[in-house]
Amino acid sequence: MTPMPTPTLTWAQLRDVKCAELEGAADGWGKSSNRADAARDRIEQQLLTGLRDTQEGEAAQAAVARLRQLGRNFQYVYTECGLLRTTLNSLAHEMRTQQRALTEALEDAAALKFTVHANGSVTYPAGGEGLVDGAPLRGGTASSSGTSGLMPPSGLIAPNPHAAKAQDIADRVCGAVRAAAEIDWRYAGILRRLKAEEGLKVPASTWKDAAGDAAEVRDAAGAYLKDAIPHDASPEARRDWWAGLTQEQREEYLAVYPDQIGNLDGIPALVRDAANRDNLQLLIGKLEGRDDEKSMTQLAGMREIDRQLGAAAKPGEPPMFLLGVSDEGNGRAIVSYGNPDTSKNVAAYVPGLNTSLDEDFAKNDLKRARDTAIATREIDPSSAMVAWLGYDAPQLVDGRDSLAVMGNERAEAGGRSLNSFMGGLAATNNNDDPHMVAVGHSYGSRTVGAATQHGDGIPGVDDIVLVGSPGVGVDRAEDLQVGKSHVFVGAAENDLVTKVPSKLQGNMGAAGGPVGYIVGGLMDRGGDNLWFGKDPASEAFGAKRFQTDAGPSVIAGGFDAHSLYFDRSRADSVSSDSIALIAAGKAGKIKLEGLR
Amino acid sequence: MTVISAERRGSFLGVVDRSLRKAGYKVEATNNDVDFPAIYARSTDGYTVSLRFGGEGQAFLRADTPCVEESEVAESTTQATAPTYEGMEHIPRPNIRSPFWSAGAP
Repeated sequence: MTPMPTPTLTWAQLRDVKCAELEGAADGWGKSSNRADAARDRIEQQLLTGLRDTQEGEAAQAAVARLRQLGRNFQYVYTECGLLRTTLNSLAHEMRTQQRALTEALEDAAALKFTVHANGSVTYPAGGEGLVDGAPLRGGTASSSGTSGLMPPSGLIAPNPHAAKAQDIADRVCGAVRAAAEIDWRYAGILRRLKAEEGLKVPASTWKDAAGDAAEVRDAAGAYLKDAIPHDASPEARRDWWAGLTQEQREEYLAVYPDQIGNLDGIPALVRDAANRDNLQLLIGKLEGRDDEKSMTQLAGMREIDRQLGAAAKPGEPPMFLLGVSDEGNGRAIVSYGNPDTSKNVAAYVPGLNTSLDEDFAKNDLKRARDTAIATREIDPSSAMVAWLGYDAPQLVDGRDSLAVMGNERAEAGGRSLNSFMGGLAATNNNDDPHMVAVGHSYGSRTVGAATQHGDGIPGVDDIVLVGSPGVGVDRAEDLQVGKSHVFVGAAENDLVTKVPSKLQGNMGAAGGPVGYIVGGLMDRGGDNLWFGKDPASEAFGAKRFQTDAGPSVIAGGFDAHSLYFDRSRADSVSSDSIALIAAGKAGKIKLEGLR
Repeated sequence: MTVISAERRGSFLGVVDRSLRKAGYKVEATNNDVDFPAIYARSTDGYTVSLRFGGEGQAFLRADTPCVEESEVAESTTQATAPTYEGMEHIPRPNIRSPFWSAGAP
């Protein structure tokens, strides 16, 4: 950064700055931003859909690719124009504060009949009484050295009482002008850097710059937009906060804080989706070109999500909503199939051990949620299913010793986040009493278990499904706070994770594999319990167990049976159909299996 | 699509069950619920077929191959014989009534 130049701004110029004009310009950029957003929408919703449905062949494919690029360009225009708008509004806001300070100082001077000169010095008239002759003391001129505060008055010389007031006014005038000059200089720099590459292409490097732009505008706009985002409030309070904003305020928050609005529980799903689609582009821009493994892994996952978001839904398929995305920790991604705010049935699937934001998650975990959404909507069309990777699940690379230690810690932290998320879904759902389900797979069931142990349980949740569970941290179904007849368990005959450790000792050698390694680390506890408490499929736990495919035997398939609960192709789909019936609020219709 | 009344769902499944068994499939699981009955079968070479009922008596038939390499699947070239509901998020429920299969349906 270049050092700040000595201010050439005068107080008269500051007094005459028309902040409303800056705000008018901001409105203009805001309109451009909205128009770009509308154009992108039109390309994606109308042109692309129309082309895909009616045209075939290479020319059509090329046109689709070009249109997608054009859509992205409009998205970039939307983002940058939105940032410009907030920068100008923020500049006007800060200028106005200094202008107000100046005006007050000038008014004080006028009331006292002082004269404020062009250079900021203040002349005051004669006044007070001399110590010796009682005659008024001479007037004079006070000027600010730039540092406020007065020299301590000498006890020997009686001051003209106007002198201190004049000095105060001079200091205030000078302070306002200096602050305004600094603001002017700071914003000039930001505005100068808010410019696009030449040409029509918007490559990833430009998106990377856009991420930097957003961060810079955010720093500058802190005083203007404030940190008014109610992070510590309840999901209901956040929903009400958002509902109470003007359209302009919402647009500015979306432009400057898409990552915070997009991931804030209590914000409506459509808003989160819009914010996160921008976030996703900003994050891809940020991670592109990095060569560390974590960045490359997350980038592959984000690209796959981006690809799916760009693909048009076929008739009868659920639309996709990106309710969360971030590169925090092992990565975060929350995707809903079906609109969770309008659906009567909303279920969230919490994945488990070794899940992180990578290509495997973006393909397979999302497919589980999508398949379950489709199966649920076959029963009740007003249904949505969410894949919720809103926590750091334990990873293989963390090693088996660290897993033993963090066994409960990750679930506890994840459980708190899951509570907040479900509370948000409950708050933004338009139905009077939506039917909500939490589905935990593998270690995700331990996370669901942890989430139930706060207050009255998971907000809004009526039914709980536990599949491939290594235990949930409590020993009885009723402890999950939905009533034991609302707890459902899927435990495949050949899923080792759901088996009592003491019965497994002989099988572990054959099982091997990465999951076997992890599970092996948890196996030493012995007794009749699973890794995290009673087996949820046991008589003592007291849940309902639904039918599942047995899965391949340990010898043939190792841990494959642990991953088939949602599968609609590899296994027979009896387990996923049971989950769908529960998610659709028809739990009474599933076929039960004997408890262990 | 044809409305299948709750009364007829059992017979419908029975017909499918017999036909699958005849073709050499092994029935692996069933759900004999009145509203949402289902049947799940597997052939000796690993193909799976299931028939289950969704909401309002709509039947869903699934067939899957054993594991194969993932590959591009071309769109069907067969001319559709029913509406394709382009652009619709929800495909309407069955609305054609048959004197036999829809008997007793509301």
